Amino acid sequence: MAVLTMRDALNQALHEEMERDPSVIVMGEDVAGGSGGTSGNIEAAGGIFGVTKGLKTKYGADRVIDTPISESAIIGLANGSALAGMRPVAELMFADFVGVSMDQIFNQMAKFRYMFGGKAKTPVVLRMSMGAGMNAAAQHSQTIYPMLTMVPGLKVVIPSNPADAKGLMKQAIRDDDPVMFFEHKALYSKKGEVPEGEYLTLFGEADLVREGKDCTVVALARMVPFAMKAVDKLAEEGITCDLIDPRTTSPLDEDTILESLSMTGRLVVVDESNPMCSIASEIASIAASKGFGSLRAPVEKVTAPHTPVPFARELERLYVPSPNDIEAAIRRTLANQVEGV
Amino acid sequence: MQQSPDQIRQAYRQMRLIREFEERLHVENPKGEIAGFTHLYSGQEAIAVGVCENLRDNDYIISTHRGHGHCLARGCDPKGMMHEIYGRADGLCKGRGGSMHIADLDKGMLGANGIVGGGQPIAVGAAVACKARGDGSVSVSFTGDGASNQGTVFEAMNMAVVLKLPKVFVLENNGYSEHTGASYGIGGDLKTRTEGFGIPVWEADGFDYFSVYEAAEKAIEHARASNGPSAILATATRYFGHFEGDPQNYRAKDEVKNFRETVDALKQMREKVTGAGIFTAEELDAIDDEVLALIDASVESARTGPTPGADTMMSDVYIDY
Amino acid sequence: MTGITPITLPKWGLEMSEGTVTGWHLAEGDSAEKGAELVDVETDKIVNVVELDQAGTLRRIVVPEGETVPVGTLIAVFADASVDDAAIDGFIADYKPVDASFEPGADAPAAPAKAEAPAPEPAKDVKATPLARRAAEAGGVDLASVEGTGRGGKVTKDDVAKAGGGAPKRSPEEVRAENDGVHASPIARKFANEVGLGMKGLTGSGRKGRVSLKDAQAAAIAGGLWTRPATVSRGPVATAAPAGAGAEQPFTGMRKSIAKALVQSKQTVPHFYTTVDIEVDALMDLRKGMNGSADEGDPKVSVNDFLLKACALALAKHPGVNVHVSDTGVTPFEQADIAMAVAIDGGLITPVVRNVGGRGLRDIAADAKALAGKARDRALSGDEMTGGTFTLSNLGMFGVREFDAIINPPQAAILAVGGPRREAREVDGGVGFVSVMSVTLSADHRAVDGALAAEFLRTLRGLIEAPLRLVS
Repeated sequence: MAVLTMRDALNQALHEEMERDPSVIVMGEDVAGGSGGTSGNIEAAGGIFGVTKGLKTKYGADRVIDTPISESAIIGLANGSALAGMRPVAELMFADFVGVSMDQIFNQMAKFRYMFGGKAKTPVVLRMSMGAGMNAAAQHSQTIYPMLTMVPGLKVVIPSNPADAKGLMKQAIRDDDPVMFFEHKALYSKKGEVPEGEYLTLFGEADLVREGKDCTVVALARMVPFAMKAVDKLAEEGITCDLIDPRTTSPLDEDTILESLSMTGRLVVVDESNPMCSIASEIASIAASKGFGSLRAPVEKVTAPHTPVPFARELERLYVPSPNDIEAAIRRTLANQVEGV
Repeated sequence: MQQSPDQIRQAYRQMRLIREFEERLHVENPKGEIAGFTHLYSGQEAIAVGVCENLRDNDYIISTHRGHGHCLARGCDPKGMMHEIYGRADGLCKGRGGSMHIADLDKGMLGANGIVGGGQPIAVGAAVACKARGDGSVSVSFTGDGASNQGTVFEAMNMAVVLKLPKVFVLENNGYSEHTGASYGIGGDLKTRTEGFGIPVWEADGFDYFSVYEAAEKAIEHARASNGPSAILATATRYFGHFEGDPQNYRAKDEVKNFRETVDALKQMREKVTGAGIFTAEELDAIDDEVLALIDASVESARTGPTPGADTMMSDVYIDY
Repeated sequence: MTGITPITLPKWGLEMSEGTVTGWHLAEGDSAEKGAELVDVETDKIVNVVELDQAGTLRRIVVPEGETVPVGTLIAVFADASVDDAAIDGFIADYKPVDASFEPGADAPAAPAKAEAPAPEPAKDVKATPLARRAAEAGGVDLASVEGTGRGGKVTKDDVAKAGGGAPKRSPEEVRAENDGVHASPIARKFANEVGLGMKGLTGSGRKGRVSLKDAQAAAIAGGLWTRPATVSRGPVATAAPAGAGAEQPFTGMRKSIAKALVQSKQTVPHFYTTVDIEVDALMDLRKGMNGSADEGDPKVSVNDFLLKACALALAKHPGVNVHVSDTGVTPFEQADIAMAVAIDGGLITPVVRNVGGRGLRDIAADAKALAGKARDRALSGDEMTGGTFTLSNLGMFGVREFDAIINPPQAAILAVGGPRREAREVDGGVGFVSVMSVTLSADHRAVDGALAAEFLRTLRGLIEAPLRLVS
């Protein structure tokens, strides 16, 4: 298997799907870049994070569309072309820009199929970079997937490694529903083995990253490698954990989480989002309502604090949940137990 | 209107300050001490200064992600800004915002903005306040060619016209919308588009301080006199990438070099001012020296400034919670 | 009939699908009357005993103690002496249990667990327990080849497992490889790999037909690969230092009465809570000054003494808080007699400092100190512990940030005091550090409204932040 960065794994998935299906088109700001420039290079950027590089050269300007800075219209473009039979993959440079185009996302694409009596297909993939840790400050660092997970009609995908990124991207492009595809900025350069060619990762299927018996840890995106560190460290002391990466938050693989909880009795949920109405809250709520009988200790939530993402390095480092935070939460839940049961 | 030598000295100093601030950041940025995104304004100095030299203390400006020049032109403290860019606790925004979010409300500077086009409707809101106060103040927004394609900008323009607000749109065309040429992204042209809303447009050469100053004088006077919004369209270029680290593959090799050697705003101003005998080259050099020393001192103090403590993590999310 | 009576695992209630045999009351060969207790069965809800519904002789126990089996499983055989062992063996071998499973698709013919390696037809004449037969089937083991160690050379489940019918039959790698191709939840896969269950062919009950943990567990039970643990340990997992739970220690008299009073208060008094942060730098400075200038022999004034005094003055200003509450009404008091919570070995005691408002700080300090000492020596008189009009509970010295206290009836309120902490505050346009303490007033809503509580706290805060009034 080839070892690729997550960036290249995503790029490979896009290349393969564009090759396979001529209805797949790509659009966004600087997905190629350089049009109207003075260097004559019509692929000057290939996406600000390099995920769409090489696509325009290979598939041309009709299928790889550089857009003006008009986020609302970019999503509209994706929506309309999808209703008209294409499979658009639109890019928002930063997930924060969802704020500029929210209507097209949650009033329009999410609801077409339902409102139109099940007659519409909206096979849009909306790619966006997210995440703190690179000092991009309050308007370029948010992890807003909980906001979109709560919208019925949207599927939400959050890969944590290159192989999943490829499998999930190919699945997303072939999926007939709108898919929100969140790519963590701090993971783009992380490398991993990626299967060649046809490789699909189903939605709603969690990955069991580590196997254990003392505690269930659920983590997403960049928090998965962080949780691996914490879990591996504890394993040296003989404390073992199931580490679950749900990979998609809508659909969410509740069963795997509950099954693991039924065997460990303890749950730590790690989410880089702010704590209120987060995926961590949601999973804690599922544990409370559907796994109550299994719980032997209070659910531990490890999240960012309820504050915007700070710019200063020192503060941002405190803001992002760390492997140490995760380790401490696991230790807390292990030391704890529900009294009087 | 004729500008006094003092005014011209001040304008030159402001432009020099912006230039040296940005050139120094371009040098410091790769060293790693400065975190996050930095978008530099070098090349466009005449626009920010030509506009802001026409403003009063009770006027407002709002800026973009490329905001250092607007802040400095509006009188924000260079040292406080430098500390902010270095993420220091004593930065203008306590290290929470960084380069892209510098604001100084005491100076009527309503903030740089990380969202392209995000500032325009806010500036229209400030114009509502100006009109309500009836004190002749105006609200000025700086907008790039890239942002001019955002729906928010069209909405803001229409709203300002409909409400007949004291609002000045400064449209800065620096030739590039991130990594794409402005000519590719803009349908029609900015002047006709703006005039389509019924907003009068004064055009200026964005490399020439005096050209911008004159256009801004007329546009701002129009808005101050309760005639509704106005606009200034100024064309220049940015000397650096969209952000620091941008390889600029979209630009011809010598493009920036040619601009620097021919129409550069500071070069032009020096030639005009010394040519007209207002100041000697030595007098201007003395200003340059003073500015360089100020930048040196700002960088030095920012590098060693205090970092925000963990106890400030939850501060200022709300006033009261 | 053959004169053989099967005993199967009973179904008790709607949700019961399996049970664990936990104790046989009769041994093989015993005869018993109708109504005699035969066997204890435990489910995840209850333990119950199976009684004989007719008299007879227990000839064979099929399911030994400790095993968990589905509802309907043959667990024992009754027959009279005329039936020979071979007939009973045959009966057991041929017995077809009722399928009481809840799993969808359970009626469908079960696909072979391993299509690529079909189990050899079990030889009918081999003596084997039903569980051994199932295990042999699941594991692809020829029963004839297994040496039986059970009664009369019967093949047991363990024998099959030893012969390779359980987990060891196929290598973990083989099982893993099979399971990798099965659409199963990762936890089901983990489980199956652990117990050596090949999941190919299993019908999944999860989302989009995925094999769930429950499906895998059911198959593992059916295949004799796994039994459900009878009990679940609920203790904490030992990390660095294991905290073993000791035996329950009965309440002492004092704890019993504390427990009773607090339960009564918490359940019948409508508590509500209001918290304020109070800056205490000025108070700390004043205290330092006072204690520094104290004459030898003068008692040191503690933060708590200042708080007592401040509470008294605030009570004087807001007499609505300085009351006793009953079901029928409110009794106001002019004088503030403040009970202070003192932690003592084995409990908590609340001696009362009288007329706090009318006395000087050093006087209060001396009195409070004496009362606390007596409390620890358990030398307080009844009078010294009754009649308080308000209570102060201070856990600040333990580093507690803030807490909610339970009202001490018939009083209307109690103040819970946390420890001081340093906090950054906006000071003159900049940021400075101040010492802040959180106090929480628990009040009885029958007598005290939110606004009154808030006003009381505002007054209290004013007194503490500008503390000179406490000493004048």
